[in-house]
Parts: sequence; structure tokens; C-alpha cells
Amino acid sequence: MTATDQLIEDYLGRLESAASTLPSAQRAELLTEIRTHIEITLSHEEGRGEAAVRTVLDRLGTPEDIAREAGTDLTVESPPQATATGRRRVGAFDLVTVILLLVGGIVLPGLGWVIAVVLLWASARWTTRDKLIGTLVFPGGLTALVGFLLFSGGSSQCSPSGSCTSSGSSVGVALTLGLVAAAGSIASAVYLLHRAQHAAA
Amino acid sequence: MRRMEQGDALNLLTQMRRGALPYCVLALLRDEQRYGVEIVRLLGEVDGMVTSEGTIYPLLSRLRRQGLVETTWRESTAGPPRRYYQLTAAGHQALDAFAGEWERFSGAVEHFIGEGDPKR
Repeated sequence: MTATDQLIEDYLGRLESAASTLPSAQRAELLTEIRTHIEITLSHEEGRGEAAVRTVLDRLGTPEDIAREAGTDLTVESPPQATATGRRRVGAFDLVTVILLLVGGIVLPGLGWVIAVVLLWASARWTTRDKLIGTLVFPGGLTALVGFLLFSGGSSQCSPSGSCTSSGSSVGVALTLGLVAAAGSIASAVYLLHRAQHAAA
Repeated sequence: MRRMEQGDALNLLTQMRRGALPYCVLALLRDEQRYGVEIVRLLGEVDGMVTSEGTIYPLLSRLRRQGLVETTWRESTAGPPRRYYQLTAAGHQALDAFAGEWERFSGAVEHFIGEGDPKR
């Protein structure tokens, strides 16, 4: 291999590693195109001297610039780079806290929710107002609804045709309360996640 | 409102150039097929259009994946086979739509920013 061939191979090697995040078909296409460009451009020149090769490579720009351009359409859906780097995701810890608030009381009756509240208040992610909302809307998370479903499942009577009759009108009230508590819990969970993301931004 | 600075204008022009470049490539292919090196050379002949020639290839690849251009490989009498690019029907449509809007927009900007009295 001549010294000028080595220059070209080095350039293409840099391009290959700079483009390592591209899908392989796209990376292969890019490498072929750039290699062909170099070959054709040099075939127009008088010779393949080192100066000619360096000129061709200089005009192409750095491999990193080319790879960056190739990667731009992969991130079309994401926000511009400036905010993308500054923006952090909601941490796993925050996510666990919110999930425990919702279902902790079901997994570990009573205690799970208490643990979630402790995590919530220990976190620096939320303001006191967020923490109050997370605690009071609604204590126990989905526990109330699940408790109701278990309770009514035991007490309601189902006919062979599949229709069920519940015992007593208080069940309707309990169901409504359970649903309100569940909706409130879910809404406050969504709110907390939103706030955590906002704080991370 | 924040004062407009020189950096803002440069940044805006960079963005505009980036945005217009794909349509300049489509325009080069309006009437004929061309191969990559030819497209790169024609763009490079106009000052201020392209700084790194190599970045045209990712752009061409994107246009192909968007269905605006299609390619065929052809043998060459000198050098390696060449990949020729040509506009698809969608490419023609995209170019025509942009060209119309660009004419209106550039005319409007020129009306105010061009030399002399804007009321002329």
C-alpha cells in the first residue's frame, strides 16, 4: 500500500468509527459513496500524488462532520441538540417512588404506601407542594379500588347467565369512592412524573 | 426582548443554508440525472453553498430514503462505477412546492432589505 493509499484508508477508518452509531446499511452506503467520490475525483486529476489526495480529503471535510450530518435525520423526532444534552430523564428512583405510591399499598398492604411516602418526602426532586399533593391525593393509591373489587367480588352474586347483582346500595357509593380515589391517585402520579421531568430539565 | 446580535444572524443564515441545500440538490436534478461527484462539484462552484463536500452524501442518502430521488449504478469508461441520481415524481413535487414559496419569500425579503428605498 502506498503512502497516499494509507491516507485514504486512514480517512475512511476515521469515518467508519465516527459513523458507528448509524444503522449498518446506512454506514456501508456512506463509506461506499465517500470511497467512490475519492476514486472518481482522483481519476480526474493528473496524478495520485500526496498533494492531490490531501486536497480531495480536505474538501470533503472531517469524517466527524460527515458522520454528524448523516446522523441528523436519526434524531429528527428529538428536540434540538442544545436542549437534548441539557435535559435529563426522570430518574429510576423517582419512577419507583411514583409507582409505589400507586400500587405499593397493594403489594405490601399498607406498608408499601408508607414506604413510598417516605421516599417521596426524602426526594429533592419535588417541592413541598408536590409532596403534599402526592401524599394526600389519595392516601393508599389504588389500594382503595382494589380493596373494593376484592370485597364486592366476595359479596356480589352472579347468576348463571353472567349478570351480577351487588348486595346493598352502599356498594355503589363505595365503588364511586374507590374510582374517585383511583382517578385522583393516577392523576397525582402523572403530575409528579411531569414535575420530576420539569425539575430535571 | 433580547437585543439581536451578530451571532444570531450568522446562526440564522447557517440554518437557512442547511434548509435550502436539499432543494438546491433537487433543482440540480430537475432536468437530468447526475452522479455524486458532479452534484458536489456543481454545488461547490457557487460560493457560500457548501463548506464540507462530504456532507452532501448523507444528504443524498436522506433524499433517497425520503423517496425524493432514486439511483442507478452505471459503469464508467474511466474510474469506478458511478451512482446516478434522478428525481422521482415526489421529488419534482417537493421541488416545485418549495420553488414557489421561495420565490414569494425571497422576493418579500428583498423588497425590504434590498438596496434603496423599499417604496420604490
